[in-house]
Amino acid sequence: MSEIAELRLLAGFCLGAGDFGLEAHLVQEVVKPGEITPVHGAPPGVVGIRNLRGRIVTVIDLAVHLQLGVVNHGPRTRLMILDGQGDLTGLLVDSVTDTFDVDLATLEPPPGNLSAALRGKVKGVWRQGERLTAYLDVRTLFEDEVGGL
Amino acid sequence: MDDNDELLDVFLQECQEHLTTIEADLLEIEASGAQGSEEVVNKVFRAAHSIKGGSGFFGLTQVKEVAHRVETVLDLMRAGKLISDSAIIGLLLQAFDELAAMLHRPKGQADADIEALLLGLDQLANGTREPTAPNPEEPVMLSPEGGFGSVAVTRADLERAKRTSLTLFRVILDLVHDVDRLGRTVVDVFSAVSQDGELLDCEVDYFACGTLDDEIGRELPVTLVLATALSVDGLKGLFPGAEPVLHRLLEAQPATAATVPVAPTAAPVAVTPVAVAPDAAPAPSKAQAREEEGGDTLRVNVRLLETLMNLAGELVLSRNQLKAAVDRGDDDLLESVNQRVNQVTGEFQDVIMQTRLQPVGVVFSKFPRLVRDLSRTLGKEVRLEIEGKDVALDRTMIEGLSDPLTHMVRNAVDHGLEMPDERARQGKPATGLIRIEARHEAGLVVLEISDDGKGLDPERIAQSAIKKGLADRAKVALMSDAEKQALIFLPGLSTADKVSDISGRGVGMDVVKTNLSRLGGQVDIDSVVGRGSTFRIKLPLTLAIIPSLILSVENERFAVPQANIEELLRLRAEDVKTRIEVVGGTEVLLLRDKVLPVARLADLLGVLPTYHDPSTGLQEIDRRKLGFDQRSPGRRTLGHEPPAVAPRSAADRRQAEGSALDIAILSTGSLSYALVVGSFHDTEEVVVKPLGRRLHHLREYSGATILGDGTVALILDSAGLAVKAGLTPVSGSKRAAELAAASESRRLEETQSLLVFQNGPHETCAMPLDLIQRIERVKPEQVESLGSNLTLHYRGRLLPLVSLSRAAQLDSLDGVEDLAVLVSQVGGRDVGLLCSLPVDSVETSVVIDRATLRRKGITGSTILRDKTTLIVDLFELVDGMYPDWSSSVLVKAAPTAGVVPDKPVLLLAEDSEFFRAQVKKYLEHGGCEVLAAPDGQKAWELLEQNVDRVRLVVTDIEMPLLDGLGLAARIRANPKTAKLPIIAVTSLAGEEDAARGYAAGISEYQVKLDRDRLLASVLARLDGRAQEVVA
Repeated sequence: MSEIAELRLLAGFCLGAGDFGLEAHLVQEVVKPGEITPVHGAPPGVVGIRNLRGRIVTVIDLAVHLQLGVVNHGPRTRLMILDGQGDLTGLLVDSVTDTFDVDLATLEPPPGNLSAALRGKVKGVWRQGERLTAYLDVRTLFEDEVGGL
Repeated sequence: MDDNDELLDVFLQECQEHLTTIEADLLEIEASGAQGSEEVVNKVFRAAHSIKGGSGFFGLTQVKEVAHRVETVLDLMRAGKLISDSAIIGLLLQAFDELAAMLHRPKGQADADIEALLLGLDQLANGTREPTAPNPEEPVMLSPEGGFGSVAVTRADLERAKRTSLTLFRVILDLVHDVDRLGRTVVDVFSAVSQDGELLDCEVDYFACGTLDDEIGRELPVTLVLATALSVDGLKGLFPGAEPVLHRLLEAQPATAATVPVAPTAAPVAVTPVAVAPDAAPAPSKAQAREEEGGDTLRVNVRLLETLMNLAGELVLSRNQLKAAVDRGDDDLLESVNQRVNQVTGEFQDVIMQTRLQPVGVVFSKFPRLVRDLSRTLGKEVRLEIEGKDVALDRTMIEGLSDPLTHMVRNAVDHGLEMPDERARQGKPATGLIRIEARHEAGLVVLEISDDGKGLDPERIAQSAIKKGLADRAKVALMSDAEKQALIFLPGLSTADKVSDISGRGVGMDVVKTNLSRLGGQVDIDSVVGRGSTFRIKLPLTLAIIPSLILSVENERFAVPQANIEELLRLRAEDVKTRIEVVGGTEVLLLRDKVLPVARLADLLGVLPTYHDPSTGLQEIDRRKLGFDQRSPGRRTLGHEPPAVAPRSAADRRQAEGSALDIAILSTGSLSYALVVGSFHDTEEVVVKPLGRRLHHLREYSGATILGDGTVALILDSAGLAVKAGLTPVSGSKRAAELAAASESRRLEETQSLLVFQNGPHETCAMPLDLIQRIERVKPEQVESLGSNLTLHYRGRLLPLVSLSRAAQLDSLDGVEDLAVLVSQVGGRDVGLLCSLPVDSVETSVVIDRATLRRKGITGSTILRDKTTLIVDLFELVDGMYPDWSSSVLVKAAPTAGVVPDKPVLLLAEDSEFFRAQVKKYLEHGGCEVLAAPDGQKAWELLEQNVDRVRLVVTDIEMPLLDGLGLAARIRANPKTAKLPIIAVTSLAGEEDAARGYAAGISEYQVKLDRDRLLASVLARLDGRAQEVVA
């Protein structure tokens, strides 16, 4: 056990009934979904594209991507903008909660009963009382897709 | 020094500039042969010299070695000791290639294997030396006058300085105090000294600057060895403010002829070219890679930069005004700011575009070398003509063009041209001609690569395609020659029986075509067996901003580049059944003489139809206007779930057929097809943005753009859509042939496209659709009255307007709300015709009554859809309202003021009264006198009567009594008229028709009816600028 806690700042968000977290420094900004232009023929999970200050963002429904249903749009629906080497991706999530520090040492390994779509994409689970947050691994999140993130 | 890398970049860029011209210069030296062009040799010498000078400073030792030897060889050449021949030039070319390659990768230059090259250059230099003469490379030690130490100078440099009466100096400068602190760079110093002398050596004493721990601000001495005609004071003047330490190494020698050891008997030295396998010398590609990498920096004219600065200032001002207007809620101010922002952004865009434009000559410049090397390898004799180097294109396009053009030029030399003996057998000159030309044409850049070689044999290509299983025998049997020739664009087809290592590098014409279409370009072939081939590439000026049509289907908007649109049409509900037929399971559209496959955009993309919801009474669900948040759950899954509704049933389609259809005819270069869309909106200059990598593979889109309201629209890729729809040219099927024949007979009645518009509620007017460039909706308050003239604020400019009420005394449009402006060009100027909505186009064969309603600006009247319609004569209208616009292009171009030259006389043969009147008007407007005849027979009679006056013939093809081909044949057969240029103006523009026409003696084809092109072509031919196509 290391004496200095190795902390990670996570940005927390909800998909359906589940709590998830991504490393906050990867999230460029969080915006409302805005007007999304559908792209017909796009791969599953890609909802469409939108304009973010003159740049094109590919919008992905993270719930569809992780086979957790569909993001039910409402007033709290948000897009988390990730910049993958100049290629902007917007992850559509049900809501964005807050940011919080996670001590990597207290991270529990992902449970064995993860669905196939989630397997390999969860780095660990962080427990806060009753609440469980799945720490998503951005490196593997889009691995099964051409190009990745 | 921190900015050493930056300096290196500047130096490398300068070298690059030297290197780009060197190739052409060396080839020129070679071409001028023994008599030599001293000036050019000097120029190359100086280039090698400055490369040598700088490379020493930056520690690029290998570069210096090569540059130095090249310099020595060139020096021998200009001293007349070495007579240039192709072997020497070849070696020098190789040396410069190597230099380019090393400079491209300055960090790895030390690893370059240059031993063989150095040896070759040394042999060359030493070969001229008399056996007893000292080695020119041998260093000679000189002691500085009144200074310490000694300086090594090569004997060659010393001899040269003596011969040319130059003084040698050692100059010690301190890089810190004499250069950096004075705000200069080493490059400044280099360019200062090279103006008045030659930099022989340059060395930095790195040890003098100490270590990192030493305090900053010590000195960093650099030692330069200069050969110059300047005095000590003059030399000091080169370094104002600095305190250089100067030592003379060699006093200038008085110039006497005797000191120049000319060796007139020295025979040209036989050179063993350094053996390098062609494949192992990928220098051109390295140079090219450098070009791409060098794309990181761009030289911009300072004037442009200043304009940009000014515009940026304007923008800031406008933004402040905008803020004020919004804060105050001042609508008037808002409107004026709006106009200002419009204007400034428009100018901004233009200027930014200018900074991105580069001459296409950048690509062309490598072809002389390429052609030279290739023709040597192949034993062919080739003359290369290049025209239009100055035509500018966006730099991304310039980069992308390099590969496809190179491939096509290689092909032309390798496969296009025959061997000299074969050419002789065919009665052609032994030297083949390859012509590369760039020019502007109708807002596009056209590049042509033509050869006078054997041409593309359609049968051989077809056989090859069948043999390789790329084409179906039955289909091929029905193909025209042009279609067979176009098969070379199929992947996997190569016309050469054996793949040579010159053209067959694993890329074929399919790759060329793909690369060009990626640049938004199209390529056509014009080839006659035995006569040669022309590949014609049409490119947009820029990739970044393209004029596009915005269209929509089910409320989703898309952009289609104008370059891909051949025409737009609306089928009225009652025409849909007769014009769209089903052939072999696919829909086809009958359009004049063509049968086009039909694709429906909504079906193709799987766009769900919008629906009418009776329970809520909502007419449509327009998702653009409703925010994302308010959408119903079912509609959000558009992108990733199979449509909940099955593709439209036959019943739905029938229903769709019950209403009018908006159709865009798109072209992919080899295929035209009809795309059924929902509706057309306006045209916009869209800025292309790439799609993210997840969507990159979707060939049906070429990118996305942000529309004026901030939403995103996808840009449709016409070629990708055609592939997705599985479309093929339908000319192969039997039914299609029948349909074509049927439409052919209809077409003989000759129809014209008219744009029908209103002048107020009671007057219906029409004018030829071809004259109109754009239609803009305007609000009454946008129209301003300036004196007796009307103008419109339009895209940051004032567009002069013509109103029918003023010019032709028709109804006034005061108080009419639904106004539109038809934008056209007259005499090279934009002009708008003010009209009212609705605006529609019809295709009809009209009979014009020229008497009843004739007045100034109105040609006459006709009945269209049971309504009396006035046919507007735009030229007369404009003449009436703006008489000072000198209408005649020819008269304007006349060199002597006041003297109006005799109008050239043209003969016009055209059976359609409408077209005859139109074309006559165009030509007269262009300053010609026109003799018009309603058929070929009458035209011939008219020509016989005026044989001394007529200078050019414009003819229709399909005419009674004697058709255009017959007329052309008759003109060519008569010695008195045989040389007359003949331009065919026709709606028959198939390649086969064209071939028949050329065979009959037609000089050129013009598609009915492009006024500007016709006029330009007529004027060019009258000037004798255009070459006869027919020998």
